[in-house]
Amino acid sequence: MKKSKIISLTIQAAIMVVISLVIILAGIAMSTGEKNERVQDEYSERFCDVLPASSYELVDTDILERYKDISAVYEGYDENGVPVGFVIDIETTVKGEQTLHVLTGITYDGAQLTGIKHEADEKNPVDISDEEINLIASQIVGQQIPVCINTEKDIEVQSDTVVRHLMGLNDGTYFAQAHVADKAGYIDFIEIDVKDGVITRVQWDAFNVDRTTQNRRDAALSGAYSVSGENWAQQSYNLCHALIDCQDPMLLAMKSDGTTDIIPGVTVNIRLFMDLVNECIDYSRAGFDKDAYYAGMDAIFMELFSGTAEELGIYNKDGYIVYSFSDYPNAFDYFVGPEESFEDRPVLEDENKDKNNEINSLEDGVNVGGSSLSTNSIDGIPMSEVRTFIDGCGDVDRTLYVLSPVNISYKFLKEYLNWLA
Amino acid sequence: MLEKVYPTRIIVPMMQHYGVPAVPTVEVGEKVTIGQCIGAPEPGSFSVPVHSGISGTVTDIRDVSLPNGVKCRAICIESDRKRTYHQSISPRSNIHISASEFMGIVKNAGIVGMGGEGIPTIAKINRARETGVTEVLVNCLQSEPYSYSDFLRISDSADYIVMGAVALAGAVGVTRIRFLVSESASSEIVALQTAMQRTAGEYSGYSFDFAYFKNRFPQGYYRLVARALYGEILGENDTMENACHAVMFNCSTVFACWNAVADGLPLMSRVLTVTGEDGLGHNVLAPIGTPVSELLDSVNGKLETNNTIVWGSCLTGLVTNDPDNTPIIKTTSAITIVRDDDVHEYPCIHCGSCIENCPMEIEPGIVTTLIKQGRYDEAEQEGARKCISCGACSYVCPSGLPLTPTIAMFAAQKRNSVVSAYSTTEKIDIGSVTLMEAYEDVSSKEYVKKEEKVVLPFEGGKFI
Amino acid sequence: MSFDLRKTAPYIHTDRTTKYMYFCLLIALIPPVTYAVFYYGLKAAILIGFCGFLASLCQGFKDYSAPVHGIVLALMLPSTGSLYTAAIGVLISEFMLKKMFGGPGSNIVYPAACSRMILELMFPQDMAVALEPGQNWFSIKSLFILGGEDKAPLSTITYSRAEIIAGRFPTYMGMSCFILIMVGMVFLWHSRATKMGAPVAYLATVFVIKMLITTEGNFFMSSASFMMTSGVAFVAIYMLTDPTNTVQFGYAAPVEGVVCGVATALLSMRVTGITLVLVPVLLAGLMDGSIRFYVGLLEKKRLEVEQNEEI
Repeated sequence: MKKSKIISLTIQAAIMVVISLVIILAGIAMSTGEKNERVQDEYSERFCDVLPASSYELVDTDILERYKDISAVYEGYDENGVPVGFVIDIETTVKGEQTLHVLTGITYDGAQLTGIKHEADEKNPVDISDEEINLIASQIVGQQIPVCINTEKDIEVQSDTVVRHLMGLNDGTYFAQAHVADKAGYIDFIEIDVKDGVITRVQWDAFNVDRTTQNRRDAALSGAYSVSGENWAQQSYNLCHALIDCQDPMLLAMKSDGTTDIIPGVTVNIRLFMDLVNECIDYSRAGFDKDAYYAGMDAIFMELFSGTAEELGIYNKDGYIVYSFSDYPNAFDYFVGPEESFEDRPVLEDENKDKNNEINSLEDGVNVGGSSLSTNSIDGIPMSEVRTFIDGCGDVDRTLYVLSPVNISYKFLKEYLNWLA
Repeated sequence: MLEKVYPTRIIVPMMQHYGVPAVPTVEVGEKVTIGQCIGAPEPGSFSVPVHSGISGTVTDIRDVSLPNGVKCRAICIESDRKRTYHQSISPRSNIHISASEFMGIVKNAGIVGMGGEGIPTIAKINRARETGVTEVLVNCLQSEPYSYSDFLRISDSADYIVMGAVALAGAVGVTRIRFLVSESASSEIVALQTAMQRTAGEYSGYSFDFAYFKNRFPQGYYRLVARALYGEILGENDTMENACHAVMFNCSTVFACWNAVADGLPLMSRVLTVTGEDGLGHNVLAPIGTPVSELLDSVNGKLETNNTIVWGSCLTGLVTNDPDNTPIIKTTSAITIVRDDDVHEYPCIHCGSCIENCPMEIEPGIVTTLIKQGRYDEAEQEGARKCISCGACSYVCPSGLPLTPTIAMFAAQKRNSVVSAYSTTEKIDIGSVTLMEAYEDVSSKEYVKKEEKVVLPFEGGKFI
Repeated sequence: MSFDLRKTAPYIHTDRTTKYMYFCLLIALIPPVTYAVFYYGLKAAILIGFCGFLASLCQGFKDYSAPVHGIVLALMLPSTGSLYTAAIGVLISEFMLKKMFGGPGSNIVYPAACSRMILELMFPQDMAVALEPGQNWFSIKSLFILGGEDKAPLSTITYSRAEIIAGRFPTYMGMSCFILIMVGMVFLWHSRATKMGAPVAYLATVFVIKMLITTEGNFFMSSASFMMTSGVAFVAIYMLTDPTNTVQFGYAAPVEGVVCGVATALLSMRVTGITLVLVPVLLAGLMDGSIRFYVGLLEKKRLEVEQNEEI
């Protein structure tokens, strides 16, 4: 070919590139609206059963590379664009080649399961019926995650890890709040759940005497409340989970200045936390649950103001009694507390003992009902983190098939969100 | 624009036509004038005379090899730069001549088919009369790339062409004249139409018509015209006269006929295109016998050292390696300069372009394959002999295959490609004549005998 | 008088050489290549470049037919295809389907089409479309995984009309954007490098017959949607215009286009995917190529044998 022809063709090639790009961009502009609409319709159709939302958006994160079972994660938003939760598309592999493909819906804080749906498109599906799945779903939807199964069945020993807990705790929810507000108007409170003698949940937060102000955790998350170091909500979370892990507040190693060095990221003063936790533990030993505590508080108000907290209208919208007794330093003298008081601290007891069911330790994910034994972990999550215990569908293995994607979803969100309440 | 070439010398071959060569009528050292007959046919031979296009001195009578393979004697004349016309050349006042007179003029003017055939026009007229044709076709379909000589002739001399056609029709004995034109040649069509209108009143007995053709090469070839116009597929031995009852003449031939009648000029010069791939074509009027090198010099150095000089058009011409000694002849319509670009040869991709473009409806690709495989009988059956070597298949072949040369070589194997054209007679002594004297205008009042001074009744004066 | 073929008429040659034709085909491939790289990113660019380059290495840069066939093959691969399968496809195309049958110009079927069908049979998982356009632009991991990742093939059924017109649906890399392929066709027509008789006849036949055999819904929209999503446009413009493999002249070109179109439309009632568009082209090319192969090579061999026997 002549040189002039080659030059001419090269110019034409360049023009073709430009035309192509123009057409592609025009195509994008033309189709983006319909594409988004189509995608949202598809998402709604797929996800509305597990997480009702107005719109969904695919989450792109490097964390997914560590979760091979998770195909995709979607974040749901309401009509105002406020995130309402996550939908996790997950296909777990069991018994080598069999898989279970489900969608799990989890609230935005990563704490509660809003729905679970079996996609039923596996190449090699696991042996579980839809009725069994639905039965399990009915037990876990609306509950906190992670989830574990209760069973009395004899099971094979898998590990002999030692788990310690405080002796003498009674099951229930126990509550204690500060008597006076701090300078910012926050009244701290601690709430713990005890199940089978083990502290399974600890919540440290604070409500404000100004009831229009958010709780300290929400304020910290929104940036309205800040402390030095990590976000206060993060520090609260770390501290609470440290306590769950070790069970004994003494093991948190609070120093004389009220701080601790052994909990990563916790730099705030934990003295008040410790006081309130110890108070709750004592209440647990005495069986003085939250309702009893509030009844005790009512006694103060009756004495001081001739009315219960409800009559006086000092509950906030979350159901907490919002009152700082700074003007009444002796108000808690009128507090009707537990009948029993304890001078000594509760002791930790080791778990690795032979019991009637001849178990040294328990299989992953199973908590033997009636005993104070607990497992080491489920799906890699320490048992201390497990929030909900269910009976399942009657078969331990099949129940675990369904619980596994839920717990993996929890693990992912924990890492993705950096904490779970 | 028509440029005139005045060469310093000419080399006039005795054989520029289909037939036998003419015999020289001059000798070395003799002075000649423009229009003088320098080669005459032996009595009774199938030949035509040859005339000088310049005045000067005969410097040599020698053998010449033409690119088309013809070897014959040629007369070399050195120009005296005076441009002296022969005394008997004069315009004719009475153009109403008889058919026999016309035929005599055509014969003695040395007119041959100037489109490339080279058949003596007188022979064609005779054949047409014998076969009883019904119409005369004037071929204005010059479709070779880069060649425009016929178009220029039509634009420049449409009157002469129309009158020439009338004269030929009269000689042949028909009244119907059809001009074969390309539908895109609008200016030529207009020129011819104007000429027809001027002629129509005086020659109302003749009907003029146009036949429009697509501008496609080689549409002007007689077999293709026969197929397009009459639906006749001519066999190997068929002619248009016997198959289609029509006789076709090239427009330059027609012009030359009337030029001979009206102006008394024999065929001693012609219009040809000097052109090249650069597209800068020159249409020149050059005397027959002008060396190719002088033609090229006259158009200011189109010749470059690495170019190839083609004697003829770029599709059907022949290479000349000796431009100094290669003259243009009566049938040369173009001199083309092409670049020496090698066309890279690739394997045949079986695209069918050659089949699509072959005017003779043979399959050049397949025929070439058969020839290369030595399957000659099958190649003949596939129509290798029908090839007219128009070059269209080679031109369009994307793979650059030498289709035309392969088939042409095959066809040439059974023909003698070298023609040695010599007559046994060394010289014919006729004196200094044009041979047109026998047909001088006898009706002119001022006509005087040959030995007296000649006064010509044309516009502008007289010459002696 | 001897003839020097290089010095014989004609002395000029058309610009429409084999090199020019394939160069124009290369330029006509720019729109789908641009699309593929724009939407599928680095892996598309690498796959296309790799296939074109490898094919050229096999045959050489003589007449540009090798890079054209290589790029056409690449554009028929999914964006998650691996370099290994692409290399196998190119080698099958260049060595088995071209050289074995006499080199360029003598292949009996369209090389890229045939090798793509072979890949479909050998590596069905690797050939499955598993990526939406616009995702994982920088990821090149899939290029190095032989056999492809185990992903469920995606469906185009739910895509909107605008997305289909814009080519924003998952399919093989260069086969989706109908409009861009038509731009390529306009360029080919404008350049006069190849003839459009066969592809136009093919597309028209497929469209009309699909309308006739559609049993439900809007006939026109259903047929139009099929035209845009099935890849028939790609096959028409880049395979049926290849002068080596498709008849280009006279009535033969549209006849071949109609035959291919009828086969494609009828086959669409039973088959989907790339098989649907490639099988008719292969059959038509095989028919044409077999005849040429017999007339050309085998006959020559037979003649040589006869001549040797005579000697």
